[in-house]
Amino acid sequence: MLLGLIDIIFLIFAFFTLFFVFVFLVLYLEHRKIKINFKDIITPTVSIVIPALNEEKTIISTINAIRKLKYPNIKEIIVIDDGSTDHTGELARSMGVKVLRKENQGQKSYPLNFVLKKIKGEIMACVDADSYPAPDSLMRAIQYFKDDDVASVTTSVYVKNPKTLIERLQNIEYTLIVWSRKLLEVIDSIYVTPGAMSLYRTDVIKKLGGFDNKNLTEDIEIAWRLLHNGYKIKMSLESEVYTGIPRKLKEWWQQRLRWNIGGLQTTLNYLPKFTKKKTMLNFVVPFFTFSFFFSIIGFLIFAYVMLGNLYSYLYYGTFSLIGGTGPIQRDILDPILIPNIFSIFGLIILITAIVWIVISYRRTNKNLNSIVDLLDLVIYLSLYITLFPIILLQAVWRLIINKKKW
Amino acid sequence: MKKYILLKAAIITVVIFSIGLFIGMWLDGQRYDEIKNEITNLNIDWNDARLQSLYYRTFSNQSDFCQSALATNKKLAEKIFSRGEQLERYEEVNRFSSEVLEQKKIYALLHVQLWLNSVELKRECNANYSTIIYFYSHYAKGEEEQDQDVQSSILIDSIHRCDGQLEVFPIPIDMDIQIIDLIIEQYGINSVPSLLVNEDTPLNGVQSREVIENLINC
Repeated sequence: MLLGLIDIIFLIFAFFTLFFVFVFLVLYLEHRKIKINFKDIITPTVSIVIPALNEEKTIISTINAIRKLKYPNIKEIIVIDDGSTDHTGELARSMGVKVLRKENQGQKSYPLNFVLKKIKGEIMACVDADSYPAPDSLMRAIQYFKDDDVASVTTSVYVKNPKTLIERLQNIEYTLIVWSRKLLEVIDSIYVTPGAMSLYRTDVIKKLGGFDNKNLTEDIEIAWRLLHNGYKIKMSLESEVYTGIPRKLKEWWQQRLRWNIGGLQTTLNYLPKFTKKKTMLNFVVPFFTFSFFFSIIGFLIFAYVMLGNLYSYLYYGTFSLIGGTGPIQRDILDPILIPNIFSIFGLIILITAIVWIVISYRRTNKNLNSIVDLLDLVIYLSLYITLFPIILLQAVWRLIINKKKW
Repeated sequence: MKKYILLKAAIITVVIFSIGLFIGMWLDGQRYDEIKNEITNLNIDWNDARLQSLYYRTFSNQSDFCQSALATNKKLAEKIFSRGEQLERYEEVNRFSSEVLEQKKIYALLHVQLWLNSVELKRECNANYSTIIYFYSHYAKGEEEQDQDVQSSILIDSIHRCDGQLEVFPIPIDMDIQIIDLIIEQYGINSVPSLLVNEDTPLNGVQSREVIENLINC
């Protein structure tokens, strides 16, 4: 059987998948030692803002972690109680920090914009109410502001105490994201300033009009807006922040759906702008657009093959029963037992993915020590990442029917 | 910087992709060579069997001839049939070798020769085994392909149950082979899958094991 349409689509998909992987591998090879000079320390004033909605379980720990930051010039610590119905506000007040209360308007951008008008620090450090920055994280991250073009610095966000399978899988994911983001810094293409802990020049954010209230992911949107306006975003790999994550599948799914809807909104918003003006977005926009497109294509190919096989099995199974024959077998292992062009590329992609994971873990000083870790990795590569395109398709659908309110 | 990084990544991708394509084509080529050698060997075996028959007819008595010819025919039929499964699997995974089609035609002709030989022996030696031609489409897709898979499985089942008393000859109807066109015209075969049982009973559509075994000596 000669190459058919699906085969050609698969080969194109394999080509671009390899291309994206090799972009990151080239970035890594070109810049193996990425360090910042920590001599001539700068310590601008910092306002730490913590938007919080019903975070009574974690707010005290977060404030305690912030209190342990080794930084001499924290101007203020402000908790924005975004209409909590629990004791978040009272608990925060009991810790001696300033608490501003406002009515909840649905998205995190509202409390951030609310506090933006009131803060006095040169740097605005946004920390989630379930995040725990390491004591040296702020000092290390601030040093990246030595470059006047830098408007934002992100940090290395990891999962706090991963125990269950879904937590451990997210831990793998976060580790890979940290290293990928660091490499994207090399080509000024950091596409998100994660809410767990990100720093901004206050005057720049004010000048740009604050965070976008229409976007579900204000952390992605502000990053793209900064790049579009010629600012740089840096990633402080040395600054570790541990954050809370969804611990149940349903919550995880909702979070990822929100991320995808926000990502799609931002992409659609900046696609026309990117083509009109040469900006720092000229890698990020095509990268995201192609990523979305190829995720969907890859998933559709996978679904086509799987559903085709499933239908065949049901069909044959029915006939086996009716015809009174033995089970009608299909040689589903043939692509592995009889290597061909598809298994070759599948293997190449798998090997490059494993190499990438090993590099990411080594560069972030994390380890895959035990059999459980390796098993988690197998589940990550086989099952976990196959959920992403499904969520993406649901996000596309939600955008189409305009059901993007949160 | 960005352009340099992207260019370098693109070059590496093209190189690795080309290597992958080359390996895929090489594997296809290896499989094609294997198929070609197998078909050549089967052709040699077939010619050998025919010459044996000719030898026995010329120099031996009838009973010696029948015993030997029937045994050789049965052995050859099993060998050709089993090679066919491998041929199908290789054909399924190959993507760059259109020459496999030519080998498949040679293989189909082998089946036709074997069928004609089996029929001749059945008559000459008063043998009581049954012969079935299984007509299928080489280019079948979707439900037609699934029907063919089902019929194949039922026939394989019947072969095992009949323990040497049934010979099946799968023959494709759409590979532009004139002798096959002649057969399907003579017996009015106009759809797939179809069966021709013992040279006189054409059956269209998927047939169950019970229907088949009622028509044969099993």
